[in-house]
Amino acid sequence: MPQLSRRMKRRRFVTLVAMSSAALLTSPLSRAAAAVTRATAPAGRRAASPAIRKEIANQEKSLADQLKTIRGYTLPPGSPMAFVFKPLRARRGAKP
Amino acid sequence: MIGEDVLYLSVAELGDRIRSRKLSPVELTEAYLDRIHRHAATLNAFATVTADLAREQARTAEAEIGKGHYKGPLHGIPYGAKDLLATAGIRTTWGAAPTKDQVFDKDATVVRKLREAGAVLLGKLSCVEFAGCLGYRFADASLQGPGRNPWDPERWTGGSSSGSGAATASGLVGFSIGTETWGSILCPSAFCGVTGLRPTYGRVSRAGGMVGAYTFDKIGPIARAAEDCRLVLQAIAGPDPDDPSASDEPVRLDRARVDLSRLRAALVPLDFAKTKGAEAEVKSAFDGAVAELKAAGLKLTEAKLPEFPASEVAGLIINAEALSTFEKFFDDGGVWQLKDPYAPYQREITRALNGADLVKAWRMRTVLQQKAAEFFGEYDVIVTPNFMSVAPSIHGDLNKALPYADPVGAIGNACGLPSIALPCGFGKGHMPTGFQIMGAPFSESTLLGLGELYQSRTRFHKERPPLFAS
Repeated sequence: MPQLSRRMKRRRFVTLVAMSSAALLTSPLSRAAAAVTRATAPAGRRAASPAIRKEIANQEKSLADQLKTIRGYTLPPGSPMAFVFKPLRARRGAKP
Repeated sequence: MIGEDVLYLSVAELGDRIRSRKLSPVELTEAYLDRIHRHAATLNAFATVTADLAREQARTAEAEIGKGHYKGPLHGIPYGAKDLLATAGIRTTWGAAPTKDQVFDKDATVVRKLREAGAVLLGKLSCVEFAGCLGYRFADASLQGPGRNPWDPERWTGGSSSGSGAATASGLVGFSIGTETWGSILCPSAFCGVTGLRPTYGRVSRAGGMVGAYTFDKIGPIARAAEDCRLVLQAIAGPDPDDPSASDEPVRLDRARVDLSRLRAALVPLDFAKTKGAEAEVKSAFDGAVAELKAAGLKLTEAKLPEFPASEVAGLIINAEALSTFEKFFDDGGVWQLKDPYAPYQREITRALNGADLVKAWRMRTVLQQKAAEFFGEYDVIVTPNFMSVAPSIHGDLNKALPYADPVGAIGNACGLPSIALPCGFGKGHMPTGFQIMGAPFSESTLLGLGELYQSRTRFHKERPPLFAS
């Protein structure tokens, strides 16, 4: 609960909250946000239990250790790139 | 009536009998199907049994051989393929609930090549969901249930090619095909007491195989002898227009005696005494294998692997590639159907990983490849333990049961190096133990030659699990 200004009456605060909620619910921004929420909230998602949260934290720590090693490794100037990109030749007669 | 002794013969031995028409591919296939029918469910080894297709392919093989059209050593040999490999019109589950009803309309190149060689597909073999590329902590993380080890069904087969290991070890197939991103051929080979070959990256086309981490994935044989791995690899290796990463390096796998006098072998021991979870019995079996190789005339020099954070590099790249591969399942919620409780959170867990980190890891991998190339300038092969303990229980947390690092596997898989897994004895609970011989890229012939030499002097690869002994 946010701290209320002493000058603001409780009824005024409730009215403002209700108005702003209504405005948000009907605004295009709100609709866009809802669409994003629907797209990113996949079916079947379950809330993580405390045990799972603990293991997630362990795995995050493990990744952080990995990243520390990778980021801390010095590649001297002139070190090789990892080439995977190759230009693709056009095939003669191939239609676009 | 074909007895168990025949079902446990090597591919080479079965092939000899089929070629000389002492053994009927149709009868052999029926005998394997009967054994699968009776025992496969105990081990959760099969995702799908392709009985009708197998009978049809066996009849074709028998007719061809009868007419004198013998195709080669795999003609009429029944096998199983890991259920990550596409089979036209037959379910390919990838071991995972989100893809449990998936059917492709084209065979994977490996399956096609084996069909063309005359091999008989008995079925699709179970595996860890998505080959474990989103991580897994429990043996049960498979659509088909935990891979149960034929040496003790309360213990794990290893993964992710769990069905390939179990079916080969228990005489349910003549040989099998597995895949490895990091450890998935070598691990079940060690835990089930069979012989597995992880080929050089690009040696075998991955077209039609599930992509896990595309710069790491390899396809290779799991069999009951090194000689069998040679025969299977010969059939499945080679370039493929459907897989840009498939190498056109010549496949020269013809059996040739390894010249031990010219071979420089590095012995890379692991510190069993100071490693949590390592078992003295496994070390003892490894020491026995080393003694046997020395007695055969192999000169082994103790050496250290290049100092490099290979595990971090390999782990990070696999993580990033797998997140991209399975993006669809994060977006549509399919990951929530997976059995591993942590897999759905992998995006959240790895949010700290950024693009620069991935490119840095790629570049570090190039440095590691150079270091490995320098190492293999000095040595031809590395002889080292495979897993440091025997198969753990199917009921526990695998991270706790197998707490040790895998530095050799990290380098081997990050650099795409071939390795052969060979059984070398038994540890706790009379469970199999194994060791590995790793080589430079495209040195499979040498590894197979050493494997054959070792197996000509030992009998560990001929031991059978007691589970279904008749």
